Amino acid sequence: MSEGKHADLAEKLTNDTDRTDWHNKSIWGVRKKRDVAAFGIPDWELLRETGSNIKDYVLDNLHDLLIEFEQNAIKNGIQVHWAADAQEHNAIVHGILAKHNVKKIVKSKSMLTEECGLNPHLEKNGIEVIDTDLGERIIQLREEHPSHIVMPAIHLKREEISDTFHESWGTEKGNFDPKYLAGAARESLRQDFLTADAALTGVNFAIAETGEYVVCTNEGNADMGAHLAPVQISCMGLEKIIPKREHLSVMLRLLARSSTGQPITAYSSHFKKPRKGQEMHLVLVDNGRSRHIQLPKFKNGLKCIRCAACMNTCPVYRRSGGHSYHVTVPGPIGSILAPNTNLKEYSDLPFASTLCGACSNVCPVKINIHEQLYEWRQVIGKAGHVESSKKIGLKVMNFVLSNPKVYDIGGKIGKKAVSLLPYAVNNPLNPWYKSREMPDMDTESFKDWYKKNR
Amino acid sequence: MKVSLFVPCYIDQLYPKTGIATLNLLEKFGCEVEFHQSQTCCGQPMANSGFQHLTKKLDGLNQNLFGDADYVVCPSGSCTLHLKEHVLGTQTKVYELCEFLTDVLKVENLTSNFPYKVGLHQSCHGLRGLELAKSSELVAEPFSKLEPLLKMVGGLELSYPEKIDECCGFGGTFCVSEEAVSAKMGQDKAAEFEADEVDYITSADMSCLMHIDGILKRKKSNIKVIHIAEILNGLAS
Amino acid sequence: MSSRADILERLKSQTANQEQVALPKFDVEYIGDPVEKFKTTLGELYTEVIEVNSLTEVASFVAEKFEGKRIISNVKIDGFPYSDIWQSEDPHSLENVEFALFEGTLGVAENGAIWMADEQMGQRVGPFICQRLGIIVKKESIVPLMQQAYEKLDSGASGFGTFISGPSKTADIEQSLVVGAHGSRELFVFLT
Repeated sequence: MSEGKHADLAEKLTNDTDRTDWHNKSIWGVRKKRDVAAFGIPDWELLRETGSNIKDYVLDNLHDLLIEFEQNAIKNGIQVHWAADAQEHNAIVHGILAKHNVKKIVKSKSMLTEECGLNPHLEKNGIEVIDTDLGERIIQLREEHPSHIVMPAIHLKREEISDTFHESWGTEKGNFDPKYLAGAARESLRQDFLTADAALTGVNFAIAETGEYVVCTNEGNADMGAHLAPVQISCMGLEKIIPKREHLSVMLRLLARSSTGQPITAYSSHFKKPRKGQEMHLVLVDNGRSRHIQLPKFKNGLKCIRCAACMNTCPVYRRSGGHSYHVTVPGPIGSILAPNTNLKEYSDLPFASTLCGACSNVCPVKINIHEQLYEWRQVIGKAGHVESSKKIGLKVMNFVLSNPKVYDIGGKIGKKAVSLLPYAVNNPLNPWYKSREMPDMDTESFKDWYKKNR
Repeated sequence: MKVSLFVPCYIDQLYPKTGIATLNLLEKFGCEVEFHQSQTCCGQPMANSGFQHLTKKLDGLNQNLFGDADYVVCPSGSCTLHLKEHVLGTQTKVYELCEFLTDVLKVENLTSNFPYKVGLHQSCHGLRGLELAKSSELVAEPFSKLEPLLKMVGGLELSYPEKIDECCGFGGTFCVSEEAVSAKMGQDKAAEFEADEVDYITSADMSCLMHIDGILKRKKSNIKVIHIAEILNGLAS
Repeated sequence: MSSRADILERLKSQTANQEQVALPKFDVEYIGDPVEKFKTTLGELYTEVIEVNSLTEVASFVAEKFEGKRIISNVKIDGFPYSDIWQSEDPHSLENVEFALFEGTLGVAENGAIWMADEQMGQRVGPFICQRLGIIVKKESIVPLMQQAYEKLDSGASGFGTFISGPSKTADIEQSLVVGAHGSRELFVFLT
């Protein structure tokens, strides 16, 4: 993960204006596709409301739903494992692979295994790991992290991908036609699917009522892996449960439309029982979730279905790029999930927002993302994790604003010194002036005018 | 009708014309306006930076001054939202100016003239927080509490930027703590208005306009910014 | 304590007694004629929709288009070569299949999704590993929304089922859409 804080990491992208514009435009295009899809459904807001209600119910009944799911999954012949944290998750997965003497595993996209750092753990233990989602494969070959949870390589240009494929697979140098490059990936990964000893998938939804789970892809990679390999492992966060199959009708309508503007992903596969001769494992992962759920103001962040609509709409994300968030799930949702895992390390993320609220409006399960960003700021402020220059400035400002007489004097003296105004709070180098002219300070205040005129 | 006017700190100090226009407008429509010399700020700059726990004295000041008012009216969506959500609560009737003109005074005619092409910047807190208009993300019938008012102004040609309600990047202390992204957002916003060849950019939030104006002036653009109260009140008065 | 017990213990305190509300009836009016909507949606999803009067037409279409290539089918059609040996073979052996033909249980108008379960697939990997995929869908099986689809689908017996809505695709390179990612490169839907 990138080292540093969001404001500094953002400059890696913003320093290159053309690239920032390209990134912004590209991701805004996805937001527009989402709009077309959403506006195609007259009762879209009812659908969101329903999705939100389903997920609220899930969080209020997670204990019972998990037990129901587990019982049914076991009945179906799935082996269920529970992992308290990333370490245990990695150990469980490795244990299964070791038992079967697996040399090579193919993976479809799973942000959870990314969160747990599974790949390096398995590689350290001598297992070859192949990410099969094209975007994930690209960043795996480049030894990078995903910058977006749905389009992991969205920060890369086709020329860069072409170079990577040329170096890794010997594709034609300088040929950066996406069709050609995707074709090369298909050929290379097909060999991996055919030779893998095990397959791992993420989970989009797990249904308590039936003990089955659903994996959505456009590429067909989860299915190619799972239906060929003798061992299938799927890893899911605890919160991925939904009560009944009928609830899928709501979730699947919301997911792809919010995510990419498609009416549904090309494949929505319902895994229930192993096929003949196959072994199926499911790992239920906590990794902070059962702690998170106990924070009343932040609990409903766990409703997230990982569609990334909040990233695509976020004016900050589009201009700062996913890597500036230095955490697996970037953007607005990542900024309210991450502080739960490490308050100090991610204390910058709730501030990487203007609180414009567009994220909450596109969220298909109506998470109040921008309100939680505000609430996290209060937690971080109280815990003392706010930059010290900002802290002192704000305390001075608060003193002035809390005392009307000081304010009146401060206004008169302070305006010229610009010590009072919100933008001047951490003023050593006056970042305002870097790209903006100062407002005209030479004005009579409203209060003075009022005294004279009323 | 008795109205208590809330003038945000930066309007008091930097944009008194906005305060004056607001006062004039309210008086024009027959409101009995009171203004407290001891008011200062809604407290948002501290609260949005994570220090709401330090603003108790300020919140107390505001509660004492405004808690019992029939109506509190403020020419800023952002400050109004903060007062409503975090300071005065739902028992006090706090309105952003345009919202008050539309919903309470039910204004149907204005006498002002403003013969210019005006780009409307829909500030986020007013738009999504106070629901002054339908935001572009929501699948619902379009409405606006700003547009009809602007359409009552003689000679005014209204236009919207390409991204009709994207944030301008001001964001309070965000504008300095995340300077690079904030400036880029402001530049992009300014560029969209420039592409529309507007004469003025207006908004119900002067803070956004202060940021956009800073960008425009750096670019030596001819586009000017003006708070919506000044347009609605008319330039001469 | 085991992780399971530990996790469940922590979650137990969060359990709230809340009624689970029934799903509302969602608007289906906007779909119009489900069959027409199904056809246009699939068309937009890079799928060739072919209306046929009989299964023999499907057989001749396939025979002509994929002559000399390996074809597998899980549908018995008069005069069309049918073998079920592949269904019990190692799934890897299907690697060289050019065309695979199956029957869908139902189609969904709003998104062009077609449901298929173990029974229809013969081999789970079949619809994914083939280069080109054909699915027969009965017009009367088409429902407006996912809601009606799940009302009709039996969640009982099958060990696996999937909604397929078009050929595989990716937009992971600069958002440029490429049809034919890992699953089939083309989808033909035969409407009967």
